[in-house]
Amino acid sequence: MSTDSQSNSRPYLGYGLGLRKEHYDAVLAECPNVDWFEIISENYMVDGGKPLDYLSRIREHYPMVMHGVSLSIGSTAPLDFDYLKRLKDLIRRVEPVWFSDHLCWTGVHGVNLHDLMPLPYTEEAVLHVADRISRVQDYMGRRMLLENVSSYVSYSDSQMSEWEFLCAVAERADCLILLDINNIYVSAFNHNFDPCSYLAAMPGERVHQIHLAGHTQENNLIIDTHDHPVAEPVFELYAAAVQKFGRVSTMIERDDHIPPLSDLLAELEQVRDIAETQFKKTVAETRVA
Amino acid sequence: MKRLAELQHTFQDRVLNPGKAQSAAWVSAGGRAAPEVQLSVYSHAYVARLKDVLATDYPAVLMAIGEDHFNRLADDYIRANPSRYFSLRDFGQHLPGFVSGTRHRDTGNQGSPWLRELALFEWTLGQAFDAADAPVFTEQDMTAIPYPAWPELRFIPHPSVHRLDLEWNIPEMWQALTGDPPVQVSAGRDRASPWLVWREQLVTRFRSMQVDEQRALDALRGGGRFGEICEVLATLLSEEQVPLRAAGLLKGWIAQGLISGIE
Repeated sequence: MSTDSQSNSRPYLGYGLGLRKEHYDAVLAECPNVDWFEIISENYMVDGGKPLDYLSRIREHYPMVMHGVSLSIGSTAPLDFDYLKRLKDLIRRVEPVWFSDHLCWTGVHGVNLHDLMPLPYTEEAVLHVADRISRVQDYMGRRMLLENVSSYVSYSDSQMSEWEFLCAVAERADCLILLDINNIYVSAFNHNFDPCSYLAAMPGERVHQIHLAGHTQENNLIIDTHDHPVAEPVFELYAAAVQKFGRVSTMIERDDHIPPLSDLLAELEQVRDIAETQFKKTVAETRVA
Repeated sequence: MKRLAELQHTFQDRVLNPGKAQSAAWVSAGGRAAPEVQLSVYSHAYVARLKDVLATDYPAVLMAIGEDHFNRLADDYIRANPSRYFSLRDFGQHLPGFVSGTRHRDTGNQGSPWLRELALFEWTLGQAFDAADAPVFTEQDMTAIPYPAWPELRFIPHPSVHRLDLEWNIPEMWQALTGDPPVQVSAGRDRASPWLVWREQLVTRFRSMQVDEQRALDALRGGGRFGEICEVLATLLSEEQVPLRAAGLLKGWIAQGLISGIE
């Protein structure tokens, strides 16, 4: 694989963490060596009080990006413009570098399953989702990032691979991509495909952010639990991503069994080492070639 | 879009009603795990996630009735109330009403009529926690207003101010049940007493009130002018007690951050 030529055109934030309430006080007291934070948008779509107070104080010291879980971009239910308005209000408040959500649906008939339900990889779904992304981007007045999800189900209806689906949606909607390397690894195991084929197909110029997270291995399934450190094979896949895309803003998500901030900072240093080592190696190889 | 809509309808129905006999032919057999196993990941995660939310929002209820009974209560609530909110924050809002209803199985709270009040108290604390921010009216602001104008003043309560009437010793139970370590306290019933829940700066607070304060604050929250609040107090106090009590209550409300402005 070679480093994509357009990699320099994307904004680059460095190495970040997901901001979690367990670490609010430590972040403010220690101003740790984290280049940026990602917030879960819905956690701050409240009227006031501590969550927004901490958010404002931490935002003073760090760049942020916003990551949502309830946009339900793939749902056949109408877009929720009340939700979008609140999201837009939060964007005005936080001034994030970008905002993102998932390439999934979360419910129909007014119900929210609060889960990232996979889509069938069909032409019908490409057209449907791309149209909705375009409408959201028009409403927000900016492009958004869409993230690939971990999936445990695949549909008989699917007509293409997941990576072909993601590429087709991104191309048609002209949106950006948040590539979750752990999700690629999890879905590759669950659905028997080669994760390197996924990486190879990604349009590097659209990949503006990378997620890393831990997972749980069960008998015939891997579950995306975000409750463990990042697994070694995921780090290997991440190095391959850096080889292909160059430096991409990367962060660790941890949502359960949340360890002390110092543990996550040590893990983030590991991420930094892997990426910087791989990047230097790729640049050196490119020069030699 | 018909096929996509059908698939989402079918999948959601499967998650919400995992026990219902349904075909899984729409799931590809190409995965490593069997289709039924693949689907069960989503139905299990749905219940587990929402149970976690309820346990986080209602720690004293959980401690009071124990894990087994809480699990059964949560199961029944989750089945009866699919989430219709973009945020998990709002999912548990109907639990106090659900606890006092008859739609759920025996959850251990038969003979525990205080449970609805405990759930309501916990939910109200959560409402105050992230209620809208608003300016706080200060004693200095008040002294700038000439005394003759006071009777016509209308005070705006802070958005975090909530009122509860509790027949049981709920705040005492809540403090014991959420202490470290938690302690069980017997429920005791008395005549209904008025309680106030609010947020002072970033700290959620609660306290009981005398009846005259409750009536006066209810009048204020109902949009009554200061003169009308004094009239309410006059139904409970002697004529000479009213000015002093009214001024004292107002001073206390302002000092505690209950007032965000005047109009």
